[in-house]
Order: sequence, then structure tokens, then C-alpha cells
Amino acid sequence: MKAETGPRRPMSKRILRVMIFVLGLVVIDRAIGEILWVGFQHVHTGEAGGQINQALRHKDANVIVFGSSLARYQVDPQVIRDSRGWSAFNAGCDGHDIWYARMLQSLLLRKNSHAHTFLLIFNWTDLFQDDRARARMFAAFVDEDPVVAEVLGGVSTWERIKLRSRSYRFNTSALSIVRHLISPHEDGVLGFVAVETPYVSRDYDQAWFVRDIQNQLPDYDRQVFQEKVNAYRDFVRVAADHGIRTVVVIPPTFRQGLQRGPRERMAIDAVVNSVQTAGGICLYIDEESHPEFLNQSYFGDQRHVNALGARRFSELLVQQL
Amino acid sequence: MQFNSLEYLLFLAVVVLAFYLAHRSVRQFVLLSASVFFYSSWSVPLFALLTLSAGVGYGAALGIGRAKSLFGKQVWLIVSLATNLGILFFFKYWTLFQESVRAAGDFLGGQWNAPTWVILLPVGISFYTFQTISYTMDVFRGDIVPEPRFDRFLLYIAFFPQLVAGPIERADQLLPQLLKSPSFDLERCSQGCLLILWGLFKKTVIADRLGIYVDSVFENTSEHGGPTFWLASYAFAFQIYGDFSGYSDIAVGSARILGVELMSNFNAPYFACDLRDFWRRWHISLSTWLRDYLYIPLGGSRLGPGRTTVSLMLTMFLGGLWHGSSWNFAIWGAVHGLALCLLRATAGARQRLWRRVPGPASMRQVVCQLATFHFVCLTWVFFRADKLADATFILARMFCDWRRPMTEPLLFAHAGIGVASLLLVEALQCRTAMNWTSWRQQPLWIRWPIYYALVFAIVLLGAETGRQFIYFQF
Repeated sequence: MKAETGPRRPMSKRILRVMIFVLGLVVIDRAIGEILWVGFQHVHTGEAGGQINQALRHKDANVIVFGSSLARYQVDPQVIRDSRGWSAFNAGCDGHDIWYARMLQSLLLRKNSHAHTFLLIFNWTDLFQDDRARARMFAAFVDEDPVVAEVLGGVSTWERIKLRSRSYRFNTSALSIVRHLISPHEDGVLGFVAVETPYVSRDYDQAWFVRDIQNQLPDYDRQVFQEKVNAYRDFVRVAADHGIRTVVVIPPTFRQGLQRGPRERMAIDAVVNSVQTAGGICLYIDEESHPEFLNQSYFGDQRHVNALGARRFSELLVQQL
Repeated sequence: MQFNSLEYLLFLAVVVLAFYLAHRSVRQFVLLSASVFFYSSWSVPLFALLTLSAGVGYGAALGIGRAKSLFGKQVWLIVSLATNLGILFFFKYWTLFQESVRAAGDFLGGQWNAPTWVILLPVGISFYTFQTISYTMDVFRGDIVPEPRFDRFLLYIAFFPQLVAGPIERADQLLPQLLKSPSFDLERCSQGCLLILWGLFKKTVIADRLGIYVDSVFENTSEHGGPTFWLASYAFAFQIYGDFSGYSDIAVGSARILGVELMSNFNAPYFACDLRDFWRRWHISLSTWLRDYLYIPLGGSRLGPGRTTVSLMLTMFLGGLWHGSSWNFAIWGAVHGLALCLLRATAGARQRLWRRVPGPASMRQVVCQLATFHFVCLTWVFFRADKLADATFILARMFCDWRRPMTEPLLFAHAGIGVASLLLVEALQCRTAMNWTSWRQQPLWIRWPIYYALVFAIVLLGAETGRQFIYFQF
């Protein structure tokens, strides 16, 4: 549209209109934020925050599992229940690791979780990635929990400003909330999803553990690395303050005979040291300590076990708890 | 500093405040300082390169102005062209050149090794070098007089709203405006803000959303079939349009707030009835630049059909290559050139054919628009694919492999709202010749809900991917 002059109005009237418009923005922002917050609380499925609500529903499970897809596809709560009689819930979420775990832990404890054990499935590649922004599905809880505010606010100053908007907290999740309210679809049982497909080698040459051996991984942010190591320490300490023990588990990888690379060893050593210093427990249920995981038949891909592997992994885990 | 960031909005607010509060005699200095700061947010040293390009153009224009003979003028023109095209070649095309030399050497069995350098592509280089070139050529032709002051000329080249991705402005349009000191006008400011809002909507709700799907398809070509590639090509058509026109709207809106009128870069291109019409509606500043400084000097359509074909093919080929250092872009341009030549050659036959087709003119128009849109979508495959082999692979699958498509319902829902809104607005603009005055005459209860809807669509549906504008890489 070309610039054109419009009808002339007094400046004071124009300024008043601008102020009313801005006020309208604030009011509508709050209204939309409140409506979506109410809707959000009724959603218990999907990765736009529904899984968080589902986990909060199971806050009183004896054992709660945290981690990424390495947790979600690998720890079967039913095995824990059958072996020990403990109720368990798998709160793993694809693509999310320690920041998700810290924030979820804080929300669970704020709601007086009665768990006695937190299992945290370790993903070493997480320490080399800055993924705070990806955990924005917790934005709805920014006012509810200071840990959430701190983690998400740590993305940037601008993010802290944007999170003041009640509507912005539901960025990307608004339509998802509507969809899951209309048609809820729960994946898995007690959070666990079994991988039933046969083994598929996904871009093996590009896998982090292969590139690690070849020293082909890009440089990483040391500050991000240390922040995450500290987050593991904080996770353990906070749990201990509430009388909950934390067990960090190093899971198996199907690496076709390769040894662990330097970055992977460094990450594991750093986290193990951090966890043990804080009073937590580290368990190795990997292919080095359990050579049965050298068998491809236990895996759906290089990093994730299949249903058979999950059963075996969960059995070994329960034996050592 | 991305246009779709809070930093930019804060920067713009500060610049606007400083501009209108400053004394008229220093306003150009304010704009120049802001432009230096803006470009330096990417790279301080590369502003020196921009200054070099501008300096050569400025000096060459003065030389042309002072030269007594045609030969003297031509020498200065060549100095400017050689320097700016040389800068462009070195920073943008050296990698392509050395790869092509190596490939040619391998093909011929020899070993031709050009030096292997990793060269950073300066932001906006394709735009500001072309702007400098157009200025020098306009001075050479006698269309404008050389600007005597370097600071004013530098401001013309480096004016921040249009510096990094256009529109490519002509000196006779932009320079006089930059020398004026307009008073603050709330009406003009409102127009600018609305344009910025619309641009942000197109960028975040349409372009960045669809980009997620497009990237997932084009980065894993072996995993997808024909229908998925068709979906991805439609998605990319709206991604690139939303991205580039969104940027242009933000640029035009920002400039308008400062009292400067930049040219419109798009005019509902996907409503074009044929390819010629498309190029009159798409990236207008570049297509008119190529017409005025390449196509017409080569002879245009004045020297017979054979020469016209050569001029058109060369213009489109180089226009394609301008977009990036890859033969993909050149082929994309060449395909468009070929299609334009065919359209020219068959214009009469097509007219006679259409007259025989029954049905209303509106139906024929829709058919033409759909055909043009689909042709453009197919050629976008060359534009988006990483390698030529990928592009041909995808095109083959689009016509031969009909496995089930990969869909992302939620993502399409997000972007679909944006695309539907965009098409509705453009259809209204086409059919009703809607302009600012007619829009401002609508009552508040119509206008304000639209503004609020735009704001909250951006807040709720906009993708927070931090994705750079596509044309920033050119």
C-alpha cells in the first residue's frame, strides 16, 4: 500500500487512541493466557505440554523416570511394578533431557510428590547442546515455579521479556491444546512407548558416537556444558532435600564394536562425579557392563532399545535398584 | 540483528525517536550512524567493504560528471563496474568458480587447482553492489547528476531498512528523500507500523512455520515420495514468499515511519496469469534492475526475435545466478528464461487457442493462474534443493513415485491460517484496489480486531525458530 495522508485529528486524541489500543493488547493478552491455561490443564497428551500434565497426575508413583527418548523407550514401568510392587511412571520426553527433568522435578516436588526414587536416564550428547529454548512447553508454568522461570529465562533477556506475555507462553502450543482437548490420544502405557520395529541403522556415519571417535564433532560451549553438569548435581540435591534418592543410569548404545569416544567419556565422567558428589547413585547398564547389549536384536536403532531390549534393560535396572 | 526480533523493534524505536528529536541539519547523520550500527551488528570489518564499494561508485560518478569525453566517462564506468562486480565475484562466486575449475579439470583429465579459500559472504553484498552499479550507470546515462557529498551517498547505499535484502532502490528515487527532513506524521507512522506487523505475520506465522516442514523434506530426500515433494514445493512457494515479502514489508514500513518511501517489491505474484506477469509482480526491484541495466542494454526486444531470445536467456540466467553461488540458481533462472522465450514465441497461437475454449473469462484466468503457480512451484525445487542432483531426483519422484505423503497436520494448521489470510488479503487488494485511505475509512470496530488478530497470531502461532531471512544469504 502506498503512503497516503488520512483525516487529520488532534494529536491528543490520537495519543489517547494509541494508549487505549495498548491497554487492549494487555487485557486481551491476559484473557487469552487465562483461557489457554485453563484448557492446558485439561490436556494430558502430546509434547506441547500435555505430557507434563500427565506426569504431574502420576506425581505419587513410587518411581518416576526422567530423560529423553532414551528413557521413554527404554524403561518399562510395568516391569518395575511386577518385580518390586512399586508403582512407576515414565516421564521421558523425546528430545529433552536435563532441563526438562529439572523443571518437571521442581513441579512434582511443589505438588508434594511421594516418590521415593527418581531415575534419570543419561544422554551424553545433551551436555554439548544448548537447548533451553526447546523446553518452552514449560512456559505455562513460569509464574508457578521459580526453577521454570530461571531455566526458561536463561535463554536470553528478550525471552524473559517475552515470557511476561501470558499468551506468548502458549506460543506453538495453542492449536495443540485445542487438538488434544478435542481428540486426546495417549501414547504408550504409564508413559512408556515400546519400539516394535526391527533394527534400522539411522545415518550411522553421522551418529555422534561415530564422529566422536573420529574427532569430527564440532566445538562446544564450555559454559553450557558446565551448566548442565551443575544441573545434574542440583537435581540430585533437590531430590535428596525431599527424601528422594536419585539414580542416574548410563544406557546402552549399539555401536558395532566401537569404543566410547573422548567426548562421551568426558561427559560421563563429569556427570558421574557431579552426581556422586551430591549423594546420588550412578548405574551402568550399558554394553560395557552388560555384554548382552552387544546384540543387535535388543535395538530399534543405534541409540534406542526395542521392546525386547526395554524389558531386559528394565529387569537389569530393577535388580540393581 | 534480525528484522523479526525484539532487538530490531527496540533499535527502530530508538532511531525514530532520535531522528525526529534531532535538529533537521543532523538527521542524515542520525540515519547514517544508525545504518552503520545496524550493519556492524553482523560484522564491523565488512562495513569497510561496503564503504569501499560505495566509495568507488561515488568517485566514479564524480569522474563521469567531470569527464570531458565519452571515452573518459566510459573509463570511470568500467572502474565502478569492475570493482563492484569484482567484489561480488570474489566474495560470492569464488567458491563456485574453484569448484567448477576443479570439476572441469577432472573431466578433462588434467589437474587445474584454483587456490582453496573459505570466504565469508558479506550480508547484503548482492544488493548494495547492484545499487552502486545502478547509480553509476544512471550518472553515465545522464539520468541523474553525481551526488557531491560522500556521506549522503553512503547513506543512500547503507540506509538500514533496505541495506541487507533490498528493495534495490534507484538513486533518483531514494537520494532526494534522504535529503529531506520530514515532520513526524502519526498517520504515516501508523501505516509503517501496520506494514511491519503484516511483515512479521508473514515471516513468523507462514514462512518460519512452513520452513520446518520444508527443511525436514529437503534434507532427507531419499525418504520421501512424490506427494510429499509436491506438498513441500507448495510449502516452499509460500515459505519463500512469506519470508521475502515479509522482510520487504518490514523494510518499507520502517522506512515509511522515517518519512522515506521505498518501492514495493511484490504485487500478489501467485495471482499472476502467466510468467511475464509473474516477473512483473515478483521481486520487482530486481526484475526492473535486470530489465534496465542488462536486458535493455543487450538489445531488449528491439533487435528481432533472435537477439531478444539471447538477451532474455542471458538476463534470466544471470538473474538466477545472482541469487546464489550454485548452478542450481543459474538453472532455475535459465528455466524461467526458456519458458519466457516460449511464451513469447507462442503468444499468438495461445491467444487463438483461448478464444476457442468455451467458458467465462474468469475461468480461463483461474486456469492460467493455477498453471503459472504450478510452473513456479516446480522451478522452486531447483531453488531450494542443495545440489543439482537432489533437484533432478526430487522432480523425477514428483512424477513417478506416488507413495503416501508425509503430513504434519498441526504444522499445516498453523501455517494454513497464515496462508489463507495472505491469499484473502491479496485477493481483496486485487479485486477491490484496496488502499490505505479506503482501509482507514473502515470503522474502528473492523480495523482494531484485525490489528489485534495479527498481533496475537504472531504471538501464538509464530514459529520461534530464530530462522534467518532467506534473502539475507544472497
